[in-house]
Amino acid sequence: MPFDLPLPKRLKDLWKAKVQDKELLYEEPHVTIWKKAKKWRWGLRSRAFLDPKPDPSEVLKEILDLIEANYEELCRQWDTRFPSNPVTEEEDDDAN
Amino acid sequence: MPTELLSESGRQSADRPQPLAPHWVEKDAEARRAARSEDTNAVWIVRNSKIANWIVRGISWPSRRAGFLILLDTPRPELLAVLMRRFERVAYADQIGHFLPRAEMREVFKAPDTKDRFVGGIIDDETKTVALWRGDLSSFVVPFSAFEPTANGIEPDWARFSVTDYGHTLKLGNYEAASDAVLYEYDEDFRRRRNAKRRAEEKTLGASIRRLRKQKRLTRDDIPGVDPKTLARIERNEVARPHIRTLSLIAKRLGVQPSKLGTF
Repeated sequence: MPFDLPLPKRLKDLWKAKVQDKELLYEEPHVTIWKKAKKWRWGLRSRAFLDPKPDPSEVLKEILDLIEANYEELCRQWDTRFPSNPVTEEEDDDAN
Repeated sequence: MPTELLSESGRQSADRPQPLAPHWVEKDAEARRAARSEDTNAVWIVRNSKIANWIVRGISWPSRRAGFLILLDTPRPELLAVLMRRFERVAYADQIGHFLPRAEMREVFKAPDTKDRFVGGIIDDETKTVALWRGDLSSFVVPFSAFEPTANGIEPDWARFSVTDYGHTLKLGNYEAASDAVLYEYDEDFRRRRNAKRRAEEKTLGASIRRLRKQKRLTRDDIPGVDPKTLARIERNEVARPHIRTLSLIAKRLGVQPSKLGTF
């Protein structure tokens, strides 16, 4: 079961933020943010967006604040799924 | 288990001048239109075999092959053979739930990365394979072993398959897989494109700064006057034109001329 970041009701229709059960593992641990057809990957090591497109500025600050507020839990959720590529593996922190 | 139903006549999303245009066929008049259309970008989406029969009856033979067809249930073999002769590609499943909902499917066909998303699929428990339809309606087959249980014990449920998140996610009960993770493992072309993109990004100013910083054994917290988050964004090329003052501070701490920052 993916970890769905709990979002306020008024954001839920448009937005999702989750850690999935199968991910690209050679890349940085991340949470995927969705707004309908658009998706962004936000790195759990770098605490920054992993891709320049779609434009990260389209993501509501409120969503990013929620991610920051739940950062530890998101890291824990990633690490329990993907112990071979843990968030805390510092040296490869931004290997992409 | 579906056999390979799709002619490989080279329709690639990257080369495609126009996105595929979905049309839901629900009435006889629409079925007649689907039967006669020569629109090479049209995708005719049909709820059941009864409506597909209407289409076949409206075809004037010999017919030129054009357009695409999605049948949201399992066709009779006889019907399938005819549809494959009339349409460039034919996708089908055994349940409507195995295709994206209408609104999401429409978005996938419009998306520039349509080929890297899935619109539907079908599970074959006998051969332990998942046949998936990509956004350009080409087929893509992966074994059950592509969906390994997670370290915390979440397992795929083959009886509860669906595509979701506008084709970016494959859902198997409580288990969710990112489409790009599956494509990366099983599609060499996807892998090549993804890695080419990564290599291109590695030639950028941001990547050069990152390599130099690593070489100097510094963390992002070690650059006075530059917020670590800003530096992360610069290193990931999210800042189109970093401020010259910021670059000067980075260059100073890294011990190089600002003009040389992009050469590492």
